[in-house]
Parts: sequence; C-alpha cells; structure tokens
Amino acid sequence: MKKRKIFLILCLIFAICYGSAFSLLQVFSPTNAESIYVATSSENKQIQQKLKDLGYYYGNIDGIIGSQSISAIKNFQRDYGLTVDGIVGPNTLKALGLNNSSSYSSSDLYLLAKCVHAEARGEPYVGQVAVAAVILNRVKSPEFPNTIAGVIYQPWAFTAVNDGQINLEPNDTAYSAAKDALNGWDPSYGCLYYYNPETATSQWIWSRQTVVTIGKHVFAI
Amino acid sequence: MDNYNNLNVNEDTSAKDTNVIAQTKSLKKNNTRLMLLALILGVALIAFVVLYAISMSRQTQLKIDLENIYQKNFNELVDNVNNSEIKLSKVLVSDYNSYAKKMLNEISKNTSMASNNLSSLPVSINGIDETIKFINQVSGYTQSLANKMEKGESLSEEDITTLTELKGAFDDLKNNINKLSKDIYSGNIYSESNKLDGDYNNFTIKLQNIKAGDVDYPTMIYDGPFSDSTINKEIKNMTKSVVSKEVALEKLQNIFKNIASSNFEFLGETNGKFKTYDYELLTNEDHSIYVQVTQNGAELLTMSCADGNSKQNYTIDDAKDIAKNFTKLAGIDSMECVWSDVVSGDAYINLAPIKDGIILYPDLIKVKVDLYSGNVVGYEASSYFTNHTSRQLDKAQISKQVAESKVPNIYSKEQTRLVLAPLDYNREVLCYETTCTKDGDTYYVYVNAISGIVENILKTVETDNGNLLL
Repeated sequence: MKKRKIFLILCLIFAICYGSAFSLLQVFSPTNAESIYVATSSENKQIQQKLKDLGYYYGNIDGIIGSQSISAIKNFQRDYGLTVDGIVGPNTLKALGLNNSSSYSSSDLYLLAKCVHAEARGEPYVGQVAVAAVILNRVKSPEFPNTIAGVIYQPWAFTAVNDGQINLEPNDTAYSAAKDALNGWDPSYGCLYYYNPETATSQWIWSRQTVVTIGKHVFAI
Repeated sequence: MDNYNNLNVNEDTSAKDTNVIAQTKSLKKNNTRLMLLALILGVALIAFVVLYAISMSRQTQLKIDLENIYQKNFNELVDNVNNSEIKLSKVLVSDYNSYAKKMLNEISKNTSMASNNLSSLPVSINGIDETIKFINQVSGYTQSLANKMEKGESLSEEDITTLTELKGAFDDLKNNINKLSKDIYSGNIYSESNKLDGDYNNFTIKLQNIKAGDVDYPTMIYDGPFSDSTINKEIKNMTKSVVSKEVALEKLQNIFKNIASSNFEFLGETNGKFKTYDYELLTNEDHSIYVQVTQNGAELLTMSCADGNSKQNYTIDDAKDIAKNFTKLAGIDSMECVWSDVVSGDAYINLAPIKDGIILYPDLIKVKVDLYSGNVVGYEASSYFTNHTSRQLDKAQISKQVAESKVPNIYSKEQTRLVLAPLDYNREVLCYETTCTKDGDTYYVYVNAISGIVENILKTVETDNGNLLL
C-alpha cells in the first residue's frame, strides 16, 4: 500500500518535472539551425507530394529524389507536353503549380485562403467561396477596414483568427475558393456577416437580415 | 524450573531487543525515505515556482507589448482626428483653390489612417461601426473632391454645404475623443478589453462615447470609395417578371441536359441584392454543383463547383469555345472572349458583349473551365445583370492614331481597340485600349476617346497563381 503511494507520488513528481521541462523548452525554444538544409528537402517533398496527389508517384514523401521520383517526374513531363528529362526545371515546377520564381507573392490570396481554411473547412465549396466573398465585401464597405489584412486581423472579427487556427496551412480547396472570390464570385451577394446558428454567442448577430444559408453558415447583411 | 523461567525471560528480552532494533531500522529507513521525498518535492516545487515566474514575466511582457500597440494606435487616432478637423476648418476659410485641394488630399489621408487605427483597437465589430463608416466616408468624399479639383472643376455650393456639415460632425468627434483620451492614456486598454456578455467589453462601451448619441452623421453621395451610391448600386437588367421555382428548374435542366432530373435538389432561396432559387446538382461523376437562378426571369446567375484536377487535356482555345457555348446555352448570346488565364489546370475566361465594335467591359461574364474534363466548373453573371442595358454610346471624338500617340514610344504597341471601361466606381467611359509591352511586361493604356486624356493604366503581373491585372 505504502509502496504504491510512494510510486504514485514519484509518478506525480516525474509528471511535474516533465511538464516543467517541456514548458521550459517552449519558453526558450532554440531557433532551427537546420533550416537551410530543410528548405531544399522540403521543396523536394512538395514535388513528391504533388506528384503523389496527381497519381504519378507511389513512394514515400522523404525529400530524396531517387529513381522512383525521377520516373514519376518523367511520366508527368510526358503527359503535360514538357521536355522529358526527369529534371524539375522552371517549366515543370510551373506545370506542377509550384512556381515560386515570380516576384509578386500574391500575399492577399494566401491570407484569404488561410482565413477561408480556418473559418470554413468542412463546409461545402460554395460556402467557402461565400466566406471569402464576405471578407472582400467588408474591404469595400465603409464600416470595416480597407484592406484584406485589416479585415481579417480586425480584433475579434473572426473566431478562427482569435484562436490561432488562421495559421494552419490552407488546402487546395480553400485556395480555389479564395481565387474564385477574388475573381468576383459572390454567392452571398454583398453580405457582410455570417454565423453558425448552433455556436454563435453574440445576440446582436441574430438581428441582421438573413440573405442565404449555405451549409452550416447563415449569411447576413 | 527457575532456570527455565530465566531462560524464557532472557529469550523474551532478546526478542524484544531485536524487535526494537528492527523498528528503529525501519523508522530510520522511513525517515530517509521521507527526507528523500521531501527533497524531491522541494526541488520540484522550486523548479515549478521558477518556471511559473518565468512564464508569468513573459506573459506580463506580452501584455505590455500588446498595450503598447493599442496605445500607439489610440494616440495616432487622436492625432489623425485632430489634424483632420484643423484641416477641414482651413478648407472652409480658403478660396477653394489649390490650397484647398492640398488640404482635402491630406484630410483623406489622415482620415484613412484614423480608420486604420480605430479598427486595430480591441473593439467588438458592431460597437463602433457607425463611427468607422463616418470616418471612411469622409476619407472617400474629400478624395473625390480633390480629384474633381484636379480635373479643373471647382467645388459646388452643395459641396461646400456638405463640408460645413462635416466640420460640425467632426468637431463633436474630436471633442469626445479628446475627452476620452486622458482616461485611456493611463494605459488600461488591455485590461478593459476582456470580453463581457456576447462580444462586448468595457473598452467598446467607452469608445462608443466618441459618437454623441443625438448626432446624425451627414449623408455623403459622391463618385468614390465607400459612397452609399456605390454600395447600393442599382441592378439594371433584372426587369423580367418573377417565375416559380418549377420554371427555374426547367430552365436549369435545359442547360444541364446530361444530369438526371433526380439529381437536382432544391436548397432554398437567396434574398439579397439578387433574389434567387438555389439548387445543388450531382454530376454523373458524383461532383456537386451549386447553382443560383434568378427569381426574375429564371436567368442562370452563378454556378460553383470544386475541382482539384490539374491535368490538362484541353487547350485554352478549346476552353474559350466551351465558355462561349455554355453562355449561349444559358441564354446570353454574342459574347466574345476578352481575357483569359490558366491557373492550376483551370481556365478563367472573361466574356463581354460587343456593340458596334465596342467591347462593353462593365457587362462581364466570368466562366471557369476545367481543362481536364472540358466541363464548365464556374459561372458568374452578376456583373452582366447589374450593368447590361441598352446604352446610348457616344461617338469617339479622337482617332485611333491620336489615342496611340498618347502612349509613349518606349512601349511597343500591339493593338488598339475601342472599349467601354468601368472607371472610378460608377463611371463608364468610352476609351481606346492600347495593349503594349515594355521589358517583357504587358500594359493596357486607356485613353478617353472624347477628351483624349489617359484615364487608367493596367499592368499584367505574373504571380504564383496566374496573371493579375493591377
């Protein structure tokens, strides 16, 4: 009985120490010294992932371009009418949708896609377009900040920005939805608000005029 | 017998002694254990306290950092409001000439920054929207007045009346915000920004006082950003009578002939700027398409569909034909492709009507074609239905050659065509559009076909995600 108690206490102490050490690590987290090496390998991983998504590559995503990767690249180049050399040059990168050579980063699109992904992943595609459109409608509206970043980072405007989900990497669907909204698609026709009736905490939001319900979100003016 | 007894006693004592020794030993052992335990606990406690102190001091630092950012924004807000008010009063005593133009430009900048400052503060979004709106509209209005003077026009009586009204409202705003500032400068924005009921907090309630309860902000209607007339733009091409959702469904089934009628699901209605019936269609490949059909005349307004395939079986020219045919099927004829771009396996095609050889840019229809399947995966016609109407177009007063001569010779000019360009929010201007290139970049220069002035220049910017016109 006693031994058990002592064992339990020791476990507790170990847990506290472990927890403390972990938080200590977080407080003083060192910068990643390997970042330069990781960058090239992560680019290779991106290429492998993209080839895997397209059904050309079946190996592991390890960042090492081996014979399996090269034959996948060659097959891809053949199908897309590129020079078949197994080397990922600018044209192949562009065809893979991984062209990072341009000087214009379209940060607005990235930010918009991030917000859409954080706020509306799991919603139907058109619901994601509508969320992006609401952000763009706010930019145009006098009642809100006048830039995409201003609207998205306005304190408390979006729950997913508040709790940090905004920093998740957006998926292709979110990108596509953001692009469509930037191209003028707006299934909400000028809405400035949306909310999930199951989770909305603000009483005020219910007083807005409802325009359309898409998926779980109610869009309102 | 005695001896035996003695022996027994002796045995008893030695047994007792062994017991005592064992007990002392176990006590000592227990003591060491306890000491060890206390030591470990003590060390853990000290470690915990140290770590807690570190994390608390870090948290305090973060709070101070955040408070400093809030304070910076609030201080700048007060400065910008004060400066705008002073400059507004200067405009009203000026001769409404070049000095006034300079001041109006500065007021526009100051108010734009003030709006930026205000929306960086931790205020619930419905708390001070009227004030943000007022400040933004002052910015847009003063900018449009400055633009007007730039073109050589002078301010009208009406403009001056509005400016005087504005000055009155701005006075109140300035007084209230300065009154509040003494309290806020003491550095408590962070602590007052804790959420109360719903989305409100004490800071929001405080900041709401900058708008005096009975003040109505003046209405500003102008050609510029944030004008009420831009926001509430009238829809010109929605005059047909309202039809039932059965008629709308029939129209849809005519457009999407290869989808079985059991795969059309009615989702509901949209009651916004456009009133629509909304349907979800399920293709044979199990893709879901979302479609909105107008209640007036059952016109296909938008359609969206997710599409993840970036392989390409079709060319951009195929996509242009596919887009044109689809638009025709949806009931809109004689549209021409005026812009196209390919982004990750999808072609974005912009179509516009052409009247007497003039491209009508305000009436765009945007079509997205999947280059793998050749299917239309996106359609957007709200600009078309908002703007398309039978217009009386002016005749061009200058020739194509004159228009081209306005473009410097450092550009190599490729083609020039007459277009109706949507400029400055609600203005539609007949222009010559000259496509030209310089250092590998493509530009579009718009020269007013009546007055000959350069109205706009757009540059094509290549990005990771297709081309942008900026």
